[in-house]
Amino acid sequence: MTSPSTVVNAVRTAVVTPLEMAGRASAGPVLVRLIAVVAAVGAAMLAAPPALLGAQLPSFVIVAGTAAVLVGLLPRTRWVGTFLLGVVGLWLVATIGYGVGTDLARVGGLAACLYLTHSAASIAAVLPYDAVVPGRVLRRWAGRVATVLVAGLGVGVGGMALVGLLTQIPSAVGPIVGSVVAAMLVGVTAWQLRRRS
Amino acid sequence: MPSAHVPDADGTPLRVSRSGTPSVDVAGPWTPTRALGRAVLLIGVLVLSAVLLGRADLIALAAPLALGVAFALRERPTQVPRVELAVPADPVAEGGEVAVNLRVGNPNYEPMDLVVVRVQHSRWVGLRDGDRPLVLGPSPRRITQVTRAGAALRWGHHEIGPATAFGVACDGLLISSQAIAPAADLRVHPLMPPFRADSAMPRATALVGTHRSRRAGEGGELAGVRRYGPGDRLRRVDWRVTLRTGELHVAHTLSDRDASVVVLLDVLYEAGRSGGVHGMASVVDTTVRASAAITEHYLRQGDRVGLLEYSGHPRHLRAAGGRRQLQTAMEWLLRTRATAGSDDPPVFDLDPHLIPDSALVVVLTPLLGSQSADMIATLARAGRVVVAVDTLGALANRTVTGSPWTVLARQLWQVERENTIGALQEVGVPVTAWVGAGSLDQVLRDMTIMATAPRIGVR
Repeated sequence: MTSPSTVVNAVRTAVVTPLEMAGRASAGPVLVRLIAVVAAVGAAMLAAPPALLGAQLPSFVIVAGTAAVLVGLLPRTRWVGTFLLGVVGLWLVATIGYGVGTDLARVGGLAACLYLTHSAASIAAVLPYDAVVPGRVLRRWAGRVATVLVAGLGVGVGGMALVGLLTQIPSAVGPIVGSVVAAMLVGVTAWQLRRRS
Repeated sequence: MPSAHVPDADGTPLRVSRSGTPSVDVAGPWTPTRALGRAVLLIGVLVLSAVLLGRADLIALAAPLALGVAFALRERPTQVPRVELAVPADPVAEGGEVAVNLRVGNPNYEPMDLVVVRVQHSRWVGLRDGDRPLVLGPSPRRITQVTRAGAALRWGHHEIGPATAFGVACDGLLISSQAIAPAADLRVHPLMPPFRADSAMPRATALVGTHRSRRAGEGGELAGVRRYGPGDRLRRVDWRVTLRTGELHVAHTLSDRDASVVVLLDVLYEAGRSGGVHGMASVVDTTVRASAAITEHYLRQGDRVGLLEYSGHPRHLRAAGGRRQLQTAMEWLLRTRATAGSDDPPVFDLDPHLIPDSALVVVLTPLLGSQSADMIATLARAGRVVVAVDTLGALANRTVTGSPWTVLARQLWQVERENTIGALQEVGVPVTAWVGAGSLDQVLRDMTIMATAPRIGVR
């Protein structure tokens, strides 16, 4: 049987340790984690079908908010990837199941939120929560994120707009070639992962 | 890793420790983070879904991620960051400012996002934000220097370091292995409380013959005139030279006496908890600071001073005079520590022959063990002039809480201690409390009177 002192110590650790960590947290890492949380909330809101946002808004806000906060609290874990995959799944459900339109603004906003969540979580994962972070380091990161977003949204949303203008010809060649290209893309990136720097 | 002394920009010598070859794991000095795996997975899922479902919007969702990974991985560093730790090579005074320089370099031609540096250090060096990791963003082929300042809170040898650093590159997609700069030693000299002993030495041997003394000190023989310095007496000011030069000058004299002082540090036991320079003083703190003050005072007077440690690891510093002896004594004092316990070798009695016959022996003792009292009595019986200075101070009257038996035990201990002090006085050892300036005046005066009084001998 567990002794009362062990239980008291466990409770104390569970309560006091997070409070101490909150007290020690520095502005820089907190800001990065906050950006990750806000971007995650934005991604979930943009990916969700309007029916879900209308009828069950409070429940959805609680669930999505909790999941997004966990992204900020646990940036080093697999939770970030799980959350982002969940958002993509929600987007597929919204577009296929609820017939939500894929307008450029919404897709652009969702793409930006997905990338921002990923990038902020990546930096938050390597920044100790109590680190002294000079503003210059964060400004440089923000500059790189802005560059990628401008270029990525230009290519992605611009390409999507261009595809919308083209006449669609049903063919089996497209999916096959596309699958091969996608597999090669993933393969090359995976090889990059394994390759020694 | 070897440390080297290098001069800083302002000429202050620094003790530098550099990071050497870091440990390289099987994946190489730079390894992918979980973020890279996550990005690859997301891109793969989005592109495959786009192809299979014929959806251009999913490609648009994947585009920033794919471009971000490609943009980030275009410049990958190959070498881990370099880290150097520089601490002052010269000793600092207890309570004084310490500046620790941290140099972090990026040896690559490719940029790093950031470098996270952690510096471990002794709790007696209060570096500001010293317990927090520091993030730096060194440019390629450049070194970034950061100075962390703080106060030296306690005397002794203190370790600054090791400093560990790891780099992050490619927007958090790659992380380096750790670079480590080994710890460097910071020497902190004890704070010397004001101390003055105006009374004559009980057994000072006057200089004999017509030969002048070689040592500077209090005396009538003029050695020269020099600039006024801290500790110089106002009556020594040479007003003619002062008026001519516009700067205070004092007459510098040669010592008229030839006396030896042996300061014996009884650190068999530690009592109390040290709070550093701004907090409570433990017994060892009081002993070391008082020793420093007494040594400095008598060396300034022109006397020879030696040091002896009575502990589980006894040490001896031969009596000598002059400024160099003061520096040697300060360094010697830094290694003082109380007997730790069973790991220390057993304590042997001090050999009285280590101490010259005519020397004044100042024993700094908390009188916590019978061994200490026996040792002091042995010295007195061997004909040495011994003064015991009680270093327990206010700790002796500290209130102790506990059961009623605790109070009784404390009263018994106090009675026993008073008996020990009485027994020491019976063998001719005066016991006085350490109160800084003038601590020894009364007992030295009494001992001088006793030493000059006619002796009754038995024929």
